[in-house]
Amino acid sequence: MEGDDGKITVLHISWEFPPFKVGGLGTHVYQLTRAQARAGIKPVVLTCGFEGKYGKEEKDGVAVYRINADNIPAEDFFSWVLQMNMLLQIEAARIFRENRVNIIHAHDWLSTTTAVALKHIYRVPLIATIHALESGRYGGIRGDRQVLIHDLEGKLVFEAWRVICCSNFMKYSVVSTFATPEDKIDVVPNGVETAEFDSLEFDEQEFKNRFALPHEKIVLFVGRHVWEKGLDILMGAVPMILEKHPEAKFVVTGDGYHRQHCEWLAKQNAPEGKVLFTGYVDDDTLRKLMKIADVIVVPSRYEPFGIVALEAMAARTPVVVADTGGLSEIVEHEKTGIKVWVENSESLAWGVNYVLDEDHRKKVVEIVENAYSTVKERYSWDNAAKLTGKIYERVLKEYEKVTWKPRPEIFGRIDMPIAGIE
Amino acid sequence: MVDQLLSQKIAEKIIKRLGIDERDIEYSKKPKTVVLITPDFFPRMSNEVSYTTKEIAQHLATRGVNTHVVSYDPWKAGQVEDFGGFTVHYVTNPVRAYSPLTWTLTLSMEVSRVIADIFHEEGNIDLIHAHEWLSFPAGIHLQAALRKPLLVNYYSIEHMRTPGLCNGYTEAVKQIEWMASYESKRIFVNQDWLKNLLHIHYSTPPEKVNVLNPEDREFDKKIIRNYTWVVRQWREMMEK
Repeated sequence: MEGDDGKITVLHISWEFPPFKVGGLGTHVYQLTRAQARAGIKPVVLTCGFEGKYGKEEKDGVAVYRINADNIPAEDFFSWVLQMNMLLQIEAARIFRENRVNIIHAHDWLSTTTAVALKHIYRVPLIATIHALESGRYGGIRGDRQVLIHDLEGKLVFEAWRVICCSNFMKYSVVSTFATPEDKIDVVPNGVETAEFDSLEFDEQEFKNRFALPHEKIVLFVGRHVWEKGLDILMGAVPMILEKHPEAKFVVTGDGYHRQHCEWLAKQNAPEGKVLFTGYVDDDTLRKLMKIADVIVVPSRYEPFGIVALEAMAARTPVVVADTGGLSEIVEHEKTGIKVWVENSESLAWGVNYVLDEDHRKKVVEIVENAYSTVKERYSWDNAAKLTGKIYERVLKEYEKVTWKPRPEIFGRIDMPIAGIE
Repeated sequence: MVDQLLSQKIAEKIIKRLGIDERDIEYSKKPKTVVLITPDFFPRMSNEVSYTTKEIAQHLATRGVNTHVVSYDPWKAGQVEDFGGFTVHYVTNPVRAYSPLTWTLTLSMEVSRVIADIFHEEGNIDLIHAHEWLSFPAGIHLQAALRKPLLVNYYSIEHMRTPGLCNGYTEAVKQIEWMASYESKRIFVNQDWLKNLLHIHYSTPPEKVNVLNPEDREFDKKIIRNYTWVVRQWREMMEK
């Protein structure tokens, strides 16, 4: 069943892939594919390229094919995504000529049309990872755009041989939203590389000076500024935290449509200079920030997994999370972090104050150490790659038994010119 | 020498009397299996697109070409109908789209599925003929994936449907139309002015475009001649 070199070749379809990142999807695919390469799987990534970075690239055992996604005319983001998929489909033809793909692994609704079409054309099993659902992101399905995304998610789940979710919360969200059989879904938690934090060597005080005064304690928010991430809930908690801990300094990284509203809230609730919006920061700066922060807050309303909490635990920084979704599964209250009520600024303020209080210092150190060892044991990308590999093997075994097979000539290696592609 | 000339003249006379075009004999490698993609087909829609695709399918069927038509029809989706010599596969959009552009781009995955099934069951498809821009995304993808030549039919272009309008939607449709004109191996239009418009707006080489009208007396012959030429060129290219 495997490719020519005896390895399982997996085509990952993801619109995000570093250096282009919007949310956690790009990081997930990047880390997973690298871990898969280490585990003896041959990952191929089909993704978007921007600002002239197109074409094929091979690094750390991962082949990446980037289409030219610059200047795609579209009426809105959703039709842009679908047109981008049209270009992905053409590039996929090249990938299938150059690789004997055994499995197609699609990530989220943004790759549905490509994944479904490729599945039927090449008759290769499709596996879908559902990272989040539209109904969860916005607390329901309302406009016609949301209906389209919801339907594309449903179509992807329906067409997939098996579905992967990063948490039990997501698994049961998919079950209840699309009436998907429970036994069709596997849970593979995301991972984090503790080494990326352990290996950081820098002058912490000098670095801190870029964001806060020496005596200030950094309360860090990492994430997109969108409704479901709950940045406004943190802004609501600011006065209650400052009342008890005037030395607190709020550093907010990321960007999004909610930013303007949250900046306005910050102006209302905090004295000048107490809340710093940095915008997007590079990975290195982000890791350093996570390392020097006194507390990291994840006040999400909806969180399928919550990789930021995991990163905080890997950085040995105390984390305060809303008790929702995947966060509930990752964090154990007062053992590996602090859980607070969802959509409740007072509760969030209590959690942050608890961590910043000198009285709880010993307890917080204990929590941080527990969290770090939990991450090391359970949440590594190598573990995620191993679990995903087992799913591939299972699917390929089942696939061997079915009559649904492609005509071999479709994988022909004739290097035939196709107008406009090469 | 005289005998040779005599037999050649007799052969020419027979060919003329039987109404056989010499080029038909030359192009003996006619396609065996053809797929037509259309957004409209009888009886759901009665318009130029459905009329032309039906005419082509009928002519191909009478010439013994295994012809499949893949058409949108939400009421008959999933059905396969025998139209007396050719087969019609009906598809519908699996998702609820909110604009013609998103509708087209999502319908294409269902069209691809049906045509891929035809390919895997029949063993081969010689040629794909897509009608109107609503069918082009699927056609472009299938040409690349199945490595079979694509022919396209234009009945109008976005520049004439929305003259002077320039927004995200119109530009996206124009891009799809341009891509189809670039990727396809042959283009059919029903009027000369449309051929000129393609040249003006999409820089399509005029020699790539054929003006074919179903009312034309030699419509069927011209279709089969073009198909045969494309298939022959494609095979030669593959053999190289």
